[in-house]
Amino acid sequence: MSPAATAGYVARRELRIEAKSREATSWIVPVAAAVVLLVGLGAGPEPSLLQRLAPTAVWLVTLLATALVGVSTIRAEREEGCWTLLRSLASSGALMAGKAMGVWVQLAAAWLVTAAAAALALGMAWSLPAVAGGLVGTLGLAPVAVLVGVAIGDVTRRVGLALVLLLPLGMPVVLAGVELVGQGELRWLMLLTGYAALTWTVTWVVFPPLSEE
Amino acid sequence: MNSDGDEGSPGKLSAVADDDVALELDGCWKRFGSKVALEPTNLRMATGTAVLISGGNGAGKTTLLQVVAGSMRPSGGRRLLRGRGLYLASGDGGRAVQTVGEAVEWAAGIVGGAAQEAIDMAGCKSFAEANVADVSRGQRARLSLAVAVAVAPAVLCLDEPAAHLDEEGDATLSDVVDGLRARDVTVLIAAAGGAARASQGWRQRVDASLRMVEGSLEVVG
Repeated sequence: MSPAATAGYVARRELRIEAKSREATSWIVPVAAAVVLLVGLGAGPEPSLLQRLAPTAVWLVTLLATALVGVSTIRAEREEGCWTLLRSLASSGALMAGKAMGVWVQLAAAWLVTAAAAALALGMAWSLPAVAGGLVGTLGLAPVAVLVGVAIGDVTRRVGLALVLLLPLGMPVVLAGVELVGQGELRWLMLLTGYAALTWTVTWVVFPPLSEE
Repeated sequence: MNSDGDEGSPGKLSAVADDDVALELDGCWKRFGSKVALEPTNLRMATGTAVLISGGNGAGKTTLLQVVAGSMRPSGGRRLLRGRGLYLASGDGGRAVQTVGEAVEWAAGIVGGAAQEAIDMAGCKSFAEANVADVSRGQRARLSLAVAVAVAPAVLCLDEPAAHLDEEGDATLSDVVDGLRARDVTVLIAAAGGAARASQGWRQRVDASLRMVEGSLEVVG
């Protein structure tokens, strides 16, 4: 099996396990609904203010999802006795890519669900660049999630630590994503694309030594 | 198979021809912080051979197996592995929400192995449709054996494989190890003191018995 095929095989396993466990789905949906409702209630009935705040709410939920999915995707493999098996069967690059692809699908789904809720409740405008930004932005966050999940290993208070690490690492995506929804300028999409290229490259290089037990 | 030991003669151990070497550790050692878990160790094993490694809790068996399998990088020394290494502790190999069959099929699929044969050989057929979370510890131990058969790596490191197995399971474990050796898989089996004493039969089945004492590997027989 080629490295690309192996990565796809790992990603399909990741998504099948999520489909059966619904571990991420079970909290992403209520958290997205709660954040959107709280923003709506807190900001009041002014439509222009709601529309301005909506993209920030969407990307903050996505950043939270990045921390939680990243931590759980590695932690569960370790705790359930599959991490060494995965590392034996797949090369480091294929394992990283497969995990990141699986995480990406989950993050993109989280972004879409939250954006749909924000569109319904807050009147956030949909546009093709905004959706593209959601997909490319989460593509850039996915390897960061895997990297953070591997890096923090077995330490306690993982989610808190993951958020502390992800806030600076993911802030460029949040800023560019918010601007992209608000302004629709393609330069923000190009920035997200560059960010994704950078995070995939850095994770590709750093993942092998970090994934050592 | 060669191992440097502090006591005893090599016994059944014999020189391994270079082209027959499946595994070679040359002065490999491992440190965690200030604690040396594995002292510099030399070990050479031929394809299709098996050793039993006994030792007390914390003696360094798991560290040795993980270094051998390549899932842990040694702090120093040289490791040569001819082919894929696989480390499996008893119960490893499947996520809680996967069925036993899915877990074995996934492992087999990535290396082109035969899942059904592995499930049959490890005695998992009757609970192949059950979720890993819902089967007993003994059945999870059999799942690990099925994954080992499905992958059939060049070097297989089984950590406490008999843990939680009943008598029938012990026989299955013997069959699995014999079957894998016939397929040129080199096998290292770690067992803690009590389990090693209880499985005297194993000592006759393997090519050599080694013992870990405070991170050092000694030849027993």
